[in-house]
Amino acid sequence: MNPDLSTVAVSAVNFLPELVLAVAFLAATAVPALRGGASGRVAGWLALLGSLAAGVLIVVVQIPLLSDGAALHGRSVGSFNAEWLFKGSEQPYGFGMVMVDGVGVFAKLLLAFASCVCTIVAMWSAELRADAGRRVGMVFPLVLALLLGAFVMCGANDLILMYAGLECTALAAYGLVAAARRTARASEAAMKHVVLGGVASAVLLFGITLLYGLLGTTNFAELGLLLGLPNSDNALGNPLVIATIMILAGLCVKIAAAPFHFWAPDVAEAVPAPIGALISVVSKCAGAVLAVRFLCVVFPGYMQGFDLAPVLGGLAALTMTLGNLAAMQQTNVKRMLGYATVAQGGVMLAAIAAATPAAIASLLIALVGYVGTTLLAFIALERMAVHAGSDEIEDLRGLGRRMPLVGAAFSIAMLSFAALPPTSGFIGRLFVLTALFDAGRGYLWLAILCAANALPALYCALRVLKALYADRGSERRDRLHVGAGRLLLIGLLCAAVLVVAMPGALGTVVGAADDAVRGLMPYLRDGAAGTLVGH
Amino acid sequence: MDNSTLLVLLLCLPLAGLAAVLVLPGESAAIRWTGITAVVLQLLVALLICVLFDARPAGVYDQAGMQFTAQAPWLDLNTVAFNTIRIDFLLGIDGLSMPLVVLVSFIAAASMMVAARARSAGRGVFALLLLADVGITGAIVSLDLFLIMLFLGLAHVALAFLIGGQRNERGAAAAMKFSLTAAFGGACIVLAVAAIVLCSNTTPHGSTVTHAFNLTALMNAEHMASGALLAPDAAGCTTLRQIAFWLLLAGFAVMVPMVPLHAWFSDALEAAPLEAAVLVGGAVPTVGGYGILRVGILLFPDVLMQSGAMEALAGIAAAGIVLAGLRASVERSPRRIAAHLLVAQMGFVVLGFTSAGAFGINGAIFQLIAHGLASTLLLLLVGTLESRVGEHGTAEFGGLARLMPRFSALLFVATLLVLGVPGLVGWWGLLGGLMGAFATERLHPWTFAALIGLLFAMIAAARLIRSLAFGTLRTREWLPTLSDLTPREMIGPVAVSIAALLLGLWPGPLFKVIGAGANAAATYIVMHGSAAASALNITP
Repeated sequence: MNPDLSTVAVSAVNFLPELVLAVAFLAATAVPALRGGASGRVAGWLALLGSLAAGVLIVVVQIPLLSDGAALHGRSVGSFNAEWLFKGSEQPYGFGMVMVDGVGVFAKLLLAFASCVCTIVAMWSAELRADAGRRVGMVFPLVLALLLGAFVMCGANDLILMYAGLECTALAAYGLVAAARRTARASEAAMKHVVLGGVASAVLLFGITLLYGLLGTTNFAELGLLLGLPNSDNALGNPLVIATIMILAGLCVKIAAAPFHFWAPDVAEAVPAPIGALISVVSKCAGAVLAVRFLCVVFPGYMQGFDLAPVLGGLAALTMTLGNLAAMQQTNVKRMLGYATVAQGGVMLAAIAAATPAAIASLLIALVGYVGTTLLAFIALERMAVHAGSDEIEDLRGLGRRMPLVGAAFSIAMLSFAALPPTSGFIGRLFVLTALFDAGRGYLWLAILCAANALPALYCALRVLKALYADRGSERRDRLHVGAGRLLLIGLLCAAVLVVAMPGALGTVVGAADDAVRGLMPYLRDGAAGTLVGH
Repeated sequence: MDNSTLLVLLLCLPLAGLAAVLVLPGESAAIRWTGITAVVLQLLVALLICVLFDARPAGVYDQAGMQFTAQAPWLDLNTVAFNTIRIDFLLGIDGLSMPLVVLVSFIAAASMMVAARARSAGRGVFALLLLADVGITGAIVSLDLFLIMLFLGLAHVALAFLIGGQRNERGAAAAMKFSLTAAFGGACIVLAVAAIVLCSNTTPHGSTVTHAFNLTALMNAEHMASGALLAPDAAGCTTLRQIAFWLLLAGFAVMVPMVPLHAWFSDALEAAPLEAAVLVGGAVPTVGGYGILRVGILLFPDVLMQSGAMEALAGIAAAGIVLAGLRASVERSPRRIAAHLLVAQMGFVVLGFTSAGAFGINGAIFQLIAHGLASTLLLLLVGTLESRVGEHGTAEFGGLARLMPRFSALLFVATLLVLGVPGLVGWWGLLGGLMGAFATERLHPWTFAALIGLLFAMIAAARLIRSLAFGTLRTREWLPTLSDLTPREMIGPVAVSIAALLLGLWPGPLFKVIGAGANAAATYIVMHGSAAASALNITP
């Protein structure tokens, strides 16, 4: 591999979405400063258009790169779904620093969508405007920075870039938490987030240096190759385990996996709903994709180095159980949602632990459901919380009858978290369960735990629904006004959550997820045979 | 025969009604009439299906033998990660499900009438009733596991809201209890279905593996990929097959409801508004019982026959009959007594299915019908009484026979129907179930236990009659205001009684309808229940 600058420039066009985001970020930072106004309107539009452009460019530029020009939903089986920065080298999947592959593109599209929705809501959010005051102008550049960091994470194929992406999202998230609200609780959440995030990035960095010191490279694929050499695991021994666990811990903080999940409910509670939704969605999607790429490429099928599957399985079990049990005890709906997203992360980790093609594809299917559900839950909740003047379950009593449509939308989101058919949460859960069965007998317990976790999740949903519909709050029966635009958005999200199970949409989602994993195939385990796919 | 639209119509009518109810403006009578029109039309379509139904083809494991089949691909995708996945929008009925379709449409119509009469019922109640109706009917007419799960999920959500409709603590607690129990069942079903579908290969001789949710295809032992987790082998059923069977059973047992998952039932029946109680008491157990046979037993006949599951199931059924009978004889509120009597009645359904003989299956379907009619009758009557006495409560009355003779007579009919007295349809249910169970020697102890349970149920029914109708009339100042059923209130109960009487005196046509399916199911279970047959892939 001998790159020169001209090849870099040629392949730079492949990363137009990321470049657009970077430019939009700079513009959104600069424009308000130059114009002197702090209304954030311009920055908001820049954030919206930037996210939208990034999404469109992914479709236009990056999807054609996948598997010899086949579209994301195409049927052709290319040998490699990869495009590496240093074009021209003849090496297989991912011997570059950054890559465009199906899994990353899938997540990036979801994230661009989420960012558009959240920006729209944030731009017209009275809550945000009241909370952030003059700092509202800072929120939108940070949204762009968050998205850019997430895109980098989705494309990272190198320890250094992994670190850069993680830091970019983390810094943007700290800023968002602190900027979006002026309460003491927000400051506390930001503080907690910063401290935990800081420790996490230090640990991650330590793990990265350790791994680099052991193997002499930072590239995922090269690390994988070196680890695959005979006797390498014996030679490396415990330092390899320690380095991997440290990197894993850093990733777990990002995904909010137990026992590093404490920041998620704090942040969800402290920030306005659209920002909370975006942070939660970004950290899950980008974190999961990065974890998949790092773990599967460096430790193909978890069959070299050391056995990661039990570690990941344990983390998954812990995360979903703790998340749900903690969610059951919350009195604040936003905190409950925060814990609910933690629990969803556990299900995703379970799929990552299996590392079969079916598992990774089902992870992507679950991500689709997760994004729709989380956005819907937070945005519907925001409307109710504005009218109730609080996020406490007690204060939402009777609201379901006064805001029938928003209440129904929120109910659908909560039921989707509980994986009740016919929501997208159910589809995700069904495919994850199937994939866990496919992964072999060692994963049966995880499948059972995944299914059982629907119960505490439903309990949480029922507690809120009871307050919304069964409890008599104030005896007023008048309808509360909800803006038509907001209602339309909530309705569309609602439809998105429900439509995933429907014919056509189901095929598209499953087909796209299936295509997305093709590139990763050689690094995944064949569940039945117990070897790498194709061996 | 191009009747494929009828089942689709059966589902689309309440769906269209639901859409109309949701968009109609105001709290008008139009909403009420839309709801009623939808269910009445649905009932008419169900009756039309009943008329056009051909009793000869067996159906059961043979998709060609299913009638009114409507099929369209829902998902048919060739993937690398999951092989080929196939989900079908597949509706179809055979002799086992056709009577239940009519029954459920009837119960839905009854509950809609009740809702229309109740002043408190608003747009939400009608919408939820129609949604629950779609879910329950859909679960019965679907032949694809994915669809069944979707429909059950819809019904689950709608019913939970309906049960909590009174907006008091008791209602909310009952709704929560139902919802959590149902979610437990749902989780069991999803787990089992995910495993079954993964292990299936409906193109065994093709070059690719096809995972399908198609129920009749999954019943073909050849369509279980050899070597898969759930593959039957010559040595007998594996532990994993047993687990999958019990998961499915647990999932549907919640709806039956079977001991020990029955606690939600009496709470729901007691706390729910009348229209919801009618639907929950009659239609939900119908789906549950049907699911136990169609999904649980027919997918895993070898587990039933070989592993002691038959004895265990019969034991659970008998325990349910005894416990529910005992509980019914100590309860005070008429709704709770009715709930426990109905649980006891459903015990005989499970016993009939468990016996796996043609007699037993025939009887169990009859018993399902008897149960649906009895539950509707009981709840309609109790509900009328409640509307008379209002907040004074219905416990420990006595002597209503003099004040409300028509009410008392119909209540007497209802208890006779529950107890399976000759002359009413319940007799054929009880007789068939018991004969089936006695024909299977391994079940004798449990059948005797069930008979003892029936004795308790009789005592409870007698107590119910005594406490309401006979005995001394206790004077209370508001008693003279009690009036007997008005002609309009008679319509529902009398219609149910006539149906029960007609089917009881003249069961031939119904036996004929169920017969082919019941015979085929029994043969299938026995053939595939023995190890040699499943090893040789013999299809009867």
